[in-house]
This record gives sequence, C-alpha cells and structure tokens, in this order.
Amino acid sequence: MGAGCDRVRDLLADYLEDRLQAAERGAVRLHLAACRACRREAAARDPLQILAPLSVDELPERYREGFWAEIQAKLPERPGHAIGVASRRAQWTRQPARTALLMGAAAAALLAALLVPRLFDRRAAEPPATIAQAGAGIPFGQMAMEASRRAPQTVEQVRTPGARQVQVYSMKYYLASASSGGPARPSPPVTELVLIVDEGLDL
Amino acid sequence: MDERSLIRLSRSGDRSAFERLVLQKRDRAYRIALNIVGDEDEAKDVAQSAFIRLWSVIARYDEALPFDPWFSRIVVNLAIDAYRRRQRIGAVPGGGGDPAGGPTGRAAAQPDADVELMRAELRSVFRDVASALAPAQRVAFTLKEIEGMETEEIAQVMGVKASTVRNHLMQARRILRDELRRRYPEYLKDVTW
Repeated sequence: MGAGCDRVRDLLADYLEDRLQAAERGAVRLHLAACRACRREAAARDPLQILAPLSVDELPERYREGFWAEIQAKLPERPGHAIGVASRRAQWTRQPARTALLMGAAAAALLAALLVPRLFDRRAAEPPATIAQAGAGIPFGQMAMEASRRAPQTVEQVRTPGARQVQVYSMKYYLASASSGGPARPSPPVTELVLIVDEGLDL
Repeated sequence: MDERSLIRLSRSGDRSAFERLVLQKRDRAYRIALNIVGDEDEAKDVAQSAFIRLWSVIARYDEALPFDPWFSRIVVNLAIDAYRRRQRIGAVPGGGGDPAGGPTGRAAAQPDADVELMRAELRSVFRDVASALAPAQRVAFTLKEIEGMETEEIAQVMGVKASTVRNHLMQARRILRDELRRRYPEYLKDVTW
C-alpha cells in the first residue's frame, strides 16, 4: 500500500459515516474505485463499498465516435429555443371584473352563433372572416375550422380524439400592447376559455 | 477553456464551445443515466437527449449557481422517464444483460480486459440489486454514493428537502445491503475486485 492508502485507511471510518468534507470524501471515493486492497477493507465494514468502481465509469468506446455528431444533428439552430411547443394554455392571471364580464358575454355570443344557425341551414357558405360571422350557416365542424384559419389569433379548434360530435374550442384573450412607432401588437394570451360543444345537441 | 467560458459561449450559439462542454460532461451524464435506467443503450440515448435539452434551456441557467447540480436535474428527469417507460413495457433494468460489456462480451478483447470484465460484472450486479429500489431511492443513491454529490445538492436536483434525501439514502442503503447479502454472498465473503 502506498501513502495514499495509509491516508485513506485513516479516513475510512469518517468516510463511511459521511463525516468528511466534500474534497476529502471525493478523494477517498476515487481511491476506493481504483484500489482493490482499500476497497476490500472498506467493504468489510460496509458491503456497498464493493460498488466503488462505478464512480469512474465512462461512456463506452463504441458510443464515443458518433456521440457528438448525433447530438449536433438534432440541435435547434440557436440555443434557448425550446424543442416542441410549450403548453398552449395561457397563464391565468387576475382579471379585472370588466374583462371577466366581457369574456362571459363573448362566450355566450359564440355559443349562440355556433349552435343556432345549425338548426336552420347546414349549407356551406363563405368562410367567416371573424368569429362574429360564425352564424352564416356553414356546417358546424367546417365552420369552426374555417373560422380558426381565418382568425387564428382568437379561436383555435381542438378536435377531441374519437369524439366526432364533440368540438372543443379554445378562445384566448389578448390585450393589445402599445408599441412605440408601430402598430399595437397583442400581448401573450392573458386568459383562456375552453368551450366544449356537443355537435349532436338537439335544441 | 474553463466551464464558465464554455457555458457563456454556448449560450451565444457557439457550437464548438458546446461540443467541448459536452465532452467534459459526457461521462458523468452517461454514468448517472446508466445507474438509474440500468441499460447502456438507453443510458446513451438519455445522455444525448440531456445535452440536446441543455442547448435549448442553457439561456435559463443562472451563473450564480453551480452548473453540475442544475444539469444533473435534466439528466435525472430524463433518466427517470426512461426508467418508467421500461417498467411499463416490462423491461427489467437488470435483465437482458449487457451484450457488449458483459463478462463474455467485447470487453474481453480490450486492453486491461480484466479490469473491464470486473467493471462489467459489477455493473451487472448493481443493475440486479438496484432493481429492488424505488426510482427516488435509485436517484438518491446514484447521486450520493456514485457521483459523490452533497445531500443539499441532491435535494435541489430532486426538488425535495434534504431530510427526504437522507431518508431515501437510508432506505436505499438498507435495501442494497440486504440484496447484496441475499443474492451475492460470495462477493461479500472475499472481495476479489
């Protein structure tokens, strides 16, 4: 045994009871990973010390050559751009009472606009440019889809899988934010209203 | 170039710097993933995914905090997901062996073959006994006993209190000791490696 082993032997009791400072503990751990004799002595006191060599495992040789290339091929062009789309749910914030009232009114209007025309006219018509035109008589599902295409900032249609006759609409409200020297731009969505509409509803 | 400089350059989009950061952290990321997931191929995939994820979120890293615990959290979360997927499909973490690293695998042809054989056998033993641990216990044990992290750092990685980490460690050690004594008594009688 070398000088390192003598030192490790002195520290072994404190090491096994987790009383060493980080630097010394790290040094003992690495020594036990490499030194069979010291490891044997440590394992006699604590059988888990036979696992010490796991501390120095490295990426196997067979994986090393392509490791970076495979990562690089999948990196977005610039860092800081999250992969995939973050949750589409807007952050719920406290809403002034006036805004909440307007939301409720808008939701009721949308429901009426979507449901009432269906009772009378299912023919296809010019796709609505805005949600206000949703009552033009377009078939229920197509109408909503067209509406979302034409007004992507206000309504999104989320089709419920396996439930053809149930439509889920997500309506997001934005506050216009002043932009110096340019047109007002919408803020990120400040709230979201989800409407679940039964297409088969017989009024 | 030091770690801090590599991180700053990576944030600005320097892929060469990011590659060097990957090389610096590669073995540790792989090791953490391996000891949680229990499969070498899966661990390699997890490590790569962690670096891809790192590139996407590195702008959020607070330089006032140590990097390793912050990055370890990414690795651990991905490894836990992989471990649970394997549980759902019935893949036993310790089952199937390690084709390239097992005692009869390619390891025998490499230099220091006896050392590599020993390590491969040890990995197999750990996979086997660690299969008795809950995921949180595996994580705590891996980060403390194999990676040498401080309990408070582990608590940050796991998003729990330090007392919870200590509890996980106590349970993990007890279970692993029992499993070693029960399944591998010959290894404990005479530590030949």
